[in-house]
Amino acid sequence: MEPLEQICSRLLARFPGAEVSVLPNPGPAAQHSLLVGRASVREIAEFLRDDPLLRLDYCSNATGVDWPEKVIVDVTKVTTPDPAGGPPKVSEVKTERLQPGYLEVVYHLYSMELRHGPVVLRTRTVNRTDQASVPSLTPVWRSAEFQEREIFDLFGVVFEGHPDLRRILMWDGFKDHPMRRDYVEPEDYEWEPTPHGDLVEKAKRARPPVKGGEPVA
Amino acid sequence: MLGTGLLQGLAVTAKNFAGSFHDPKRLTTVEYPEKKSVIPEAFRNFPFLVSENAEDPMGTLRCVACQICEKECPPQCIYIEKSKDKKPDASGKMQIYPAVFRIDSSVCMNCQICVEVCPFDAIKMDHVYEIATSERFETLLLDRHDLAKPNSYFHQIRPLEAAEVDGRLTAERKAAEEKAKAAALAKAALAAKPAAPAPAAPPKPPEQA
Amino acid sequence: MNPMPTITDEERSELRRHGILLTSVEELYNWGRSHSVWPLQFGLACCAIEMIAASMARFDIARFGSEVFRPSPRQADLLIVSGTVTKKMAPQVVRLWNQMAEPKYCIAMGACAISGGPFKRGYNVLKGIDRFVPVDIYIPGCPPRPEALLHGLMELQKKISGQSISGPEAPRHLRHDTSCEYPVPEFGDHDLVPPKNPEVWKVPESPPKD
Repeated sequence: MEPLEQICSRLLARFPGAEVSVLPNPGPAAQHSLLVGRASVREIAEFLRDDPLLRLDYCSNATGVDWPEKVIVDVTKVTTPDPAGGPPKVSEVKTERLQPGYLEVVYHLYSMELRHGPVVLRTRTVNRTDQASVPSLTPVWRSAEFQEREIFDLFGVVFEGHPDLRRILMWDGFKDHPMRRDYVEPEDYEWEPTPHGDLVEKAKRARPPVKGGEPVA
Repeated sequence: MLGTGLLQGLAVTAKNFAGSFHDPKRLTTVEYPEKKSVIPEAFRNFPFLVSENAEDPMGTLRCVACQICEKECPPQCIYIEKSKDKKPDASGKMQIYPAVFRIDSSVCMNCQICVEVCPFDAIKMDHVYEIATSERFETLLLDRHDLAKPNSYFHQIRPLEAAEVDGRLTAERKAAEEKAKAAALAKAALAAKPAAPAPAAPPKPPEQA
Repeated sequence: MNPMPTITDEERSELRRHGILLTSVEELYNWGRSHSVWPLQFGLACCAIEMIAASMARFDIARFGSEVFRPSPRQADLLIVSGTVTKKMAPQVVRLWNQMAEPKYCIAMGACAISGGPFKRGYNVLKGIDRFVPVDIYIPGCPPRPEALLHGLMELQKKISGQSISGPEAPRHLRHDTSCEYPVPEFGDHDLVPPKNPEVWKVPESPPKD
C-alpha cells in the first residue's frame, strides 16, 4: 500500500479545497492517521473506497475520542531596548490561551480486495457542547452503522445522514454520555469491602467509616 | 442407499445408550457428588496464602505485605494493611507481615495475576470450588484466617509446582547463607590483618592469609 | 402460637434404621419441592455456558431433578442468574422474576451476578442482582465450574428441606405478611429508579468482619 503522505497528496490533488493532513502518532505504534475536515469527509471516504489503488472497502472499527478543552501556555521572548544605552533586556512573557475541546471520530479502514490496511481516518467536531455533529459514513461503509450509534450513545456525537441514530448500549431516556471525560457515575458503592483509590471516597460517602483492622493474631 | 449415514449415527447412539448401563467406558456422566472429576494441577479457583507449617499459620505466612498483588489485581478485590511490628520469617529474617489481608471472593475473577506477580510465592491458587453460600456479606469476604493454608496442602493440590517452589526457595536460602558466611569470613580476615604485624620485631613474621 | 414439634435429621434417620417410616407432611412437601426444581432458560453471559455444560451429559443437572429448563417463566421454579446483569436488562430480569409462580428460588451464579464482578465500575453494570431480587444461593467463581453449580443446587435443596410449613420461618408463599410481587425498576435519567430495593438489599451496618 502506498505511504500515507502519498495518499494525502493524492487526496489534495483530487479535492483541492479539502482539509486533509497527516496526523503523526508519537507513540511506539507509529500508526499515523489522516485528519479530514467535516465538510469533505463523505466524498473523501467514497474516494478511499472506490479508488482502484486503495479499495478500502471494510471499515473494521469506528471509535470516538473526547478531547477536553486545554489551557495552552505560550512562552515568548521579548527584547526591550535599554533606555540608558546598555544591552537590551530579554524577558519571557507567558500568555495563556484556551484551546476549545472537541470530539473526534476515528475510523479504521482495511481493504478486503487488495488485502492491505489499515488507514486511520479522523474527523473532528467543532466543540463538545452544541456543535457536536459530523457527517455519517454509514452510506459509505455499512459496518459503521452500529459503531456510529455507539459513538452517539457514549460520546454524544450526532451523525448527520445516519439511517437510525439512537442509543444502542444505554436506554433511550439516559441523559449522560458515559465515555466523556466529565462523566460522573452514580453513587452506588454501599458495599465496598476492598476499596482502592477514588473508591475509598465513594465508599466513605455511601456509609461512614467504622474502625477497621482485625486484631493482630 | 439413502439414509445409511443416519442409521450409522443412530447405531452409535444406541450403543452408547445401552452401554451406559453396564460399561463404564460408555458412561460419560461424572456422577457428582459421589464421583468428582479429576482436577488438573493447573486449575485455578480463588487464591490462598501459603504458610510454612500448619501449627502456626498466622506466624509463618510467606506474605510480607509488599502489596504488589493488591496493586496488580484487575478488579481490585485484595485489601492489605501492613503490620506495625516485624516477625521472623522462615529464613530468620525479620519481616513485616499483613495485619489485614482480605480478598472479596464475590469479585475475584480467578485470573491468577496475583500469583504471577508475587515475588515471595506467598499466594497461590486453590482448587476448592464447593463454596456456594446463602450469606453473601458474611461468608464471601475472606480474611487471612480463611485464606492461610499450610505448605503441605499446597504440595497436596499442586505437587509439581510446590516441589519447584520449595526447591527454589531452599536454593535461594542456601545461597544467601553461603554469601553471609563468606562475607563474615572476609570481615574476620580484614579484622585480623592489622592485628598481625607488631610494632617491635617479632621472633617470627606472621603468616599472611 | 405453639411451635410444631420437630424431629432432627439424626433422630429421623435413627428411626428409619429401626424400620419405622415417619413421614410428616412437611417432609413430604419439602421433598417434593426440593427434588423437582425446574430452572428457567435464562443465561446472560459466560456463566450461561457453564450452566449449559451442567445440563449436558458430563454433569447432568437432570439427576438432581432439574429435568428440563423451561422457556416460560410461568412454568419455572428457579431463576439462575448467570452472567453480568446490565442496568438495561435489570427491569426485564425483575419482570421475569415476578412472572414466575411461587414457590420460586433464585441462584446468583458467578461473580457478576453476585456483585457486578470484575465489571462493577462499569456505567451500565448492576452491582449484583440481589439489589432487586431476593437471592437464595450465591455461587462465587468466574465462571464457577458446573460441579460448583450442582453443589449450589444441592445447597438450595438443603435450604428448602430445612424450611418449615408454618410459623415465622415459613417460606414466602406460605406467609400472609409477604408480597410475591417485586417492584420493577424504571429507566431514569442517570441511573435506574430506584437504584436498589431496600427491602431486598440489606447491607449490614458493620463493615467487613474483623
